[in-house]
Amino acid sequence: MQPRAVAATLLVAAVSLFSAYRLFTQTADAYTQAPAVDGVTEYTGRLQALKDALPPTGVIGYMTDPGTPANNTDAVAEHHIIQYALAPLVVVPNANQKYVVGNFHKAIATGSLRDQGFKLVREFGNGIALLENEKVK
Amino acid sequence: MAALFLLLITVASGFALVRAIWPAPWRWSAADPIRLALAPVAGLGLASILFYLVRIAAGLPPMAAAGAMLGAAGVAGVVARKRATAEEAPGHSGKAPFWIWVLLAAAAALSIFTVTMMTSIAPHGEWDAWSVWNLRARFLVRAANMQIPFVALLDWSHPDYPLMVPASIAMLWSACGTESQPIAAWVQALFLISAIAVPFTVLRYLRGAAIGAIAAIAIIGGSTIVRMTAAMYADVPMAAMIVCSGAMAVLALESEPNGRGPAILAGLVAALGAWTKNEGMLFFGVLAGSIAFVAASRAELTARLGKLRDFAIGAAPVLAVVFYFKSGATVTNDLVGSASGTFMGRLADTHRHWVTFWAMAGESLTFGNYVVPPAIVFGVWLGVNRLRRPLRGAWLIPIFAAVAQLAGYYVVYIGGSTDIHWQIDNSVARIMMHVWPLCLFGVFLITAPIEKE
Repeated sequence: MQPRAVAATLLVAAVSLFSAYRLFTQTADAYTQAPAVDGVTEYTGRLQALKDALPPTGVIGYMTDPGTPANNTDAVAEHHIIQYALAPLVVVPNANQKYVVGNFHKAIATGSLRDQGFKLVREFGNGIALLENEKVK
Repeated sequence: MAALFLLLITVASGFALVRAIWPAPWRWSAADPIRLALAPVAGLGLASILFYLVRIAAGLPPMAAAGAMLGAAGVAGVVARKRATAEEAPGHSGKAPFWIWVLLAAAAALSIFTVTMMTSIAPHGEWDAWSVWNLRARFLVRAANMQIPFVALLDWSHPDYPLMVPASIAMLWSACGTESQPIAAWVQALFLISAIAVPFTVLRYLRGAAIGAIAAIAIIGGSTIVRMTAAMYADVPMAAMIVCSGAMAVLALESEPNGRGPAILAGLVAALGAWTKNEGMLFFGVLAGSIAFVAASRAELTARLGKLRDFAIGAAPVLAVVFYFKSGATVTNDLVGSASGTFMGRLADTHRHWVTFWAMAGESLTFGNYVVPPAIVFGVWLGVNRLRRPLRGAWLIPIFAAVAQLAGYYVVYIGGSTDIHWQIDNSVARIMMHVWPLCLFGVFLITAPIEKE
């Protein structure tokens, strides 16, 4: 190789390797601080009892804390993870189904749910509950 | 262990398929590194198409899909054996200095450790992995009714997105009997390997080992591609399809004037791109157009017709599956589903042009964790080493196709996006990454020789 080609090759290699190294060090930092179990595994693990209580297929509703905006990123993520855990059961993001998964972060009075036409079927802890929508036959 | 064995079978199936389409001597030959580099893409493509046809279209049980895969691999092996040729062109004889191999090994090691750590931190990948791609794979494996994953009730999970990634994962999960997340990670890693190895081996064959190796180092250096591998989206597979089809098209035009295999494979892989993401359909048209029209002389144009026919022959079976899948989609794509009047109105909106242009220009300057804008780095590379002369039209195809693909993305952003700021924030780095390996392949292809020829 000619000297100028060697120089150009070293330039490309140095910049590329430095870029790869920067990502490596950023990842290594995150790796050392990461929890033993990742968020998705931990969250879906909490849903195992709910999954066991539901039929394997069909359509089920979903509701979260009252007043949560439809585009709230955390709320959308939790709905998607619950769908990921419960597939092939289809979890639609509304409560217009006979059975509804409740995912609450604030305490909700059973009476308040009953006033809206929902009967508590079972609580699974961590704010997860299975509700029956009595307005749907 | 069973999972690794299945992955090896998938790659071996791909290698047999590539050799059946592009015959070679039965022993190891000069272009076999290219065939091996393309094998993961071909094997996973075969697995995904067969899973779709057997499980979803025909509704047969999982064992039928695995059986079809083994049968197809066997048939490909027999055809490859029967079509074995006597000789093959030796390829470029240039050697790379030892220190370039050391640098390549360092880049490869860094990327392997990075992907391994990222996959360990997030074994289910990032958002789109568990809300779209791996979710679809779970549906395909778990559902008894194969229409469930595509119902309109799941419109937020984009049921119209093609099935290359989820169906190939589902095939391996079904055959393995477990929904192992490492398998999903390995599928992504195989696409990354092809995205690096195909340009490396094609450049090594056409231009020599030094150019091939430095191109591979540069592709790894645009570290977005490494990060996105661990994210488990369909964007690294898309980048792999784009660079593999582009590189095979160049190989067909430059090195195989009488052989049909590389052109057929270019068409096959470009069509697999359309089976990977909707953006792949755009690239299929872009690459076909580039092969037809990017030429330096009338003689070059005339010679292209036969290659285009082979390109179409390779693409036809996969495109038929893509159109069959799309014809049954219950949900229209949110970007292309805009009414034409709305689309045209947005195209006239100067604010959308301003936002999109600067987002794409800005990303091109900061792409890939580089400390120096990549345009400067590779501008210096070309400035120092000069362009290869006389420039042939075929050598310009990769860069032309990459620019045309980005122009297509630009139009889709402006005309199709409902929330352009959100769309750009969430995708501009990924769509730039789609063409990153192809761009670099093009840059190194047109570089004047850096070693004696």
